[in-house]
Amino acid sequence: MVEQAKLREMANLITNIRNEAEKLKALGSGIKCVEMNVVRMSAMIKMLELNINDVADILDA
Amino acid sequence: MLQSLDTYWNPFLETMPAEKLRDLQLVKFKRILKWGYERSKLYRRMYDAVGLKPKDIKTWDDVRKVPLIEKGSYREAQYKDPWPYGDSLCVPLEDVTVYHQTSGTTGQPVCQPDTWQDWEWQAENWSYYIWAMGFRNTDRVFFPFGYNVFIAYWAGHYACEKIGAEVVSGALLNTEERILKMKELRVTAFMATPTYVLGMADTCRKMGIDPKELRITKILCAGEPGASVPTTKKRMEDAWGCPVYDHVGATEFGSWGYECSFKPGGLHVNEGMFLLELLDLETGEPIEEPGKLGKIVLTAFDRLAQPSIRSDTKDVAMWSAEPCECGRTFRVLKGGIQGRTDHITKVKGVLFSPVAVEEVVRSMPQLSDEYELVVDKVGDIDRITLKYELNPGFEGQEKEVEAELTKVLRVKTNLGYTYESHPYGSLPRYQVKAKRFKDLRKDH
Repeated sequence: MVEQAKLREMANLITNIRNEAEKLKALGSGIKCVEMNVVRMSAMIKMLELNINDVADILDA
Repeated sequence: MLQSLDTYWNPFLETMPAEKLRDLQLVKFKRILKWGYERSKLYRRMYDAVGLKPKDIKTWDDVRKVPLIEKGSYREAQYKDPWPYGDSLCVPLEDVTVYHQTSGTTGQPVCQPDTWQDWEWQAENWSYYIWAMGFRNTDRVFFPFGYNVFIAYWAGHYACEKIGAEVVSGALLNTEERILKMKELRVTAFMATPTYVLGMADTCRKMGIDPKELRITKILCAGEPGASVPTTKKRMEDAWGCPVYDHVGATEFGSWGYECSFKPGGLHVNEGMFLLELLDLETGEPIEEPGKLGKIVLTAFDRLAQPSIRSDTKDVAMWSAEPCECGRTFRVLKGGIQGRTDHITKVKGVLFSPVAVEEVVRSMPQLSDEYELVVDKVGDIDRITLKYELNPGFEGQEKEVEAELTKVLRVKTNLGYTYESHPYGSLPRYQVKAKRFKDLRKDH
């Protein structure tokens, strides 16, 4: 089975991706092709957070 | 016992130690409760009425204090601005990207909004299930349903895309055309209600095709409890020559239960994304022990546009004592959904579940797949009538069949029945949800 250290490492990467997506959203404010694709990307990032970050937080607690 | 990594969609969550899983559920419950209270006028009204604030909920005992919500509450809150979701909507209307509705068989349809994130969440949940059933990117999956306002297999379609499988829509084709298209494209799997799976097999035979010729490798069933009824499952698997897996969900809650390829004799609950509570049918007290029937109360942790927080589903089930060999720590509901609180009723003073009759009917080769149960009164006495069809080749055997039914049903349900034999093919056939149980006593 996959080790727990990898879980935390993935969670950290996902947090970075979330932050970068937020920056892109702010930078692309008013530019529809950026705004709407970031909405879709954010939904997928959220799924990664539910799958990985939420679990990592509980297992680390 | 843990299986190989490829067994799981998310090995971390699906094999999480049970006590950690409970901790995760409590964290997620508090999160969605706060969201609902802050964003939904409907939930805020409900909670304010009993003096409940999200910060009051700290332990599992506190969770039990949160009022249950019923379908009727959504109806009352809807059909006003923001149209049509009204006070149940938790996001700006412009963030809603998908509309579905309930069938409206018990009243005005409930409207279900989803944001794009909610829709990803739907596909994500289904991905857990179809992966556990063995769907892979090598599958070509056929969808023989109407793609209309009802949620049906919409999320199954998107989940197949998500796991990399190829999807084929059979929306506007009739049953014969669907079968021919499935055969032509050599599809490997499809999704339908148990009623329609059996109906399609019947149509195949009428077309001179053995369903096994289509070489389907797996079927996902939803919409009715039949795929967890052993005799109905066997009929489907015998007809198509492949495993049939059960799945359960609803428009308002999302899809929350599934059977894995290890076939644990029931449905896993996706406890990473949902809280499923079983409450005693009479006292309302929580049931944790296996083997005791209770009504299902569901919370969807991560659906945001119109959350389901402690929804009274009206479905009835029991926990299994046995963990599944698949290694998932998600608990199993033994035998799947056992019925509905509005179907489980007392007849002649005896607790009666129509699913028990289905199990008997489908176990007898003399009987067709279709049947109907009608409960009414003769004077003050309850009467239960079983309408059945004899399969071709068994004509004239009504007396023997009814004697066998009486014997088995007496043991299985502790009730006596009257019978009506109908010509083969004359009882209603259904493509989506079958309505085979009618309780007419309320009309007396």
